[in-house]
Amino acid sequence: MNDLLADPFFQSGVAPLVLGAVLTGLARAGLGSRAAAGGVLLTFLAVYLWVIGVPALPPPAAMGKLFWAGVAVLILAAILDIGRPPAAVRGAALLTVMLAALYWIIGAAVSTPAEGLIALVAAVAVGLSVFPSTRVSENEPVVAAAPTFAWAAAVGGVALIGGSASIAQLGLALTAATGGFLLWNWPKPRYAWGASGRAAQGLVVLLGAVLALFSSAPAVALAPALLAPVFLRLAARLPLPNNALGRALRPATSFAFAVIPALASIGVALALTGGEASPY
Amino acid sequence: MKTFAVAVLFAAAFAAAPAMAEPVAYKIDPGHTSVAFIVNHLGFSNTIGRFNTVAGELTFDQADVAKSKLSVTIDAAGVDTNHAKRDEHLRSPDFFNVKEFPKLTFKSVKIEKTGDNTGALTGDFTMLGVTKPLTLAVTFNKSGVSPATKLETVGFSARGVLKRTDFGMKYGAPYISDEIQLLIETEATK
Repeated sequence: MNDLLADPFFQSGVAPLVLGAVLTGLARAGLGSRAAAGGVLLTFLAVYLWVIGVPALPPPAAMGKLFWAGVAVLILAAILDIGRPPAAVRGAALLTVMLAALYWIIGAAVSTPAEGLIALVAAVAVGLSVFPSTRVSENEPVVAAAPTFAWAAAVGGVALIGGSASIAQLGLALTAATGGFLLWNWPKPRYAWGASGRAAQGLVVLLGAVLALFSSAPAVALAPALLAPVFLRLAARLPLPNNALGRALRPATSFAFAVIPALASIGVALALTGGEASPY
Repeated sequence: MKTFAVAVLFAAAFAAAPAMAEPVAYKIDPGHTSVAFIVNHLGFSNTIGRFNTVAGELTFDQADVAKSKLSVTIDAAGVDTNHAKRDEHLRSPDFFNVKEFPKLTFKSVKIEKTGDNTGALTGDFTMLGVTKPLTLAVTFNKSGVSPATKLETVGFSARGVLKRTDFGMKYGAPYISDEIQLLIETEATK
């Protein structure tokens, strides 16, 4: 049993998938369907504690800051999902906190133009997470969650190949936890991908920024994954029948399209690093 | 005449004695300094690594070692386990996090003599932004003019153990052992 609990693939695959599904159900039961995606954030925090342990407070390092930022956005997003202030207020509150978290985590590491570019791209990606395309409704949870799944897979895959095992595990855990959320929502959508879901996507961006700025992983490999929302729009143009089959296929095809750029990111990382992982 | 010569020699030796007892400033010789560590890997074996860039200063008082002082700075990015990919991983936030914490430092606080040529060196060791006391068992090997460099040289060996989680380096523990053995060999020149 101990061997299983210590297995990195169990910690970042099966366990967060199950945890994501269970905690999504619990968040739905306790806080309502709009806050159900809080289960994804909770799973991230649980896997963090499992893999890395409790970070110091105040945290001296970016990874510790990431955890406490996760706690803050979990609480904020739950308040926003439960209280349901106007959309503009929800977005502004979430964006402000997530950009502040981004600055807190990576601010000290930005000293060159290349690092500044990474920070700028991360800030834009945070914005896209909080204010996604208006064509994607939070009531289409599979479509709305697809970029989170794709970006987390890209961050996890790129980190696994060339950077940091803990970031790889956290990225893959976020992928699996999002999968756990999706299990509730396909083929029939049940829970909204609300502020908690958007916060989860923003958290993926923060994790990717840490990977890009604090490890030797090739930051450029993460670039293709940023196109996931564009691929989502392409998927929306597919001529699907307007019946039960079409309604079930739309989220599935959108999801599949969104994952393509993530696979490209992993391919770029493989090409740039030779694909050899650390033997630890 | 012979008596005079002996007297002069005694006088010279006596005059030199206080100077020899003074603390003498040395610089760590990077070419003859190794800071190595041993970490257990999943219970299967022990992996040995080292830091390739070490600098420091030593003020050594052979007559009264308690008056000696040592400060050492280690470049964290110089970690080397003879495997490039693992070394990249060791530089990542999982372990030494070199982007945020590029240096490891040690500054002596207390030196106690424990034997004819041994001592306990306690100092503040800083890693990942966390400072904790670290005690090393030190053996004074030799002092004198090196036949190779013609410089006044002192040589020491030191051994110690630290718990990496005390410094916030938690990833992989305890499967990749928490306890790290330190092996330090150094020469310092005047």
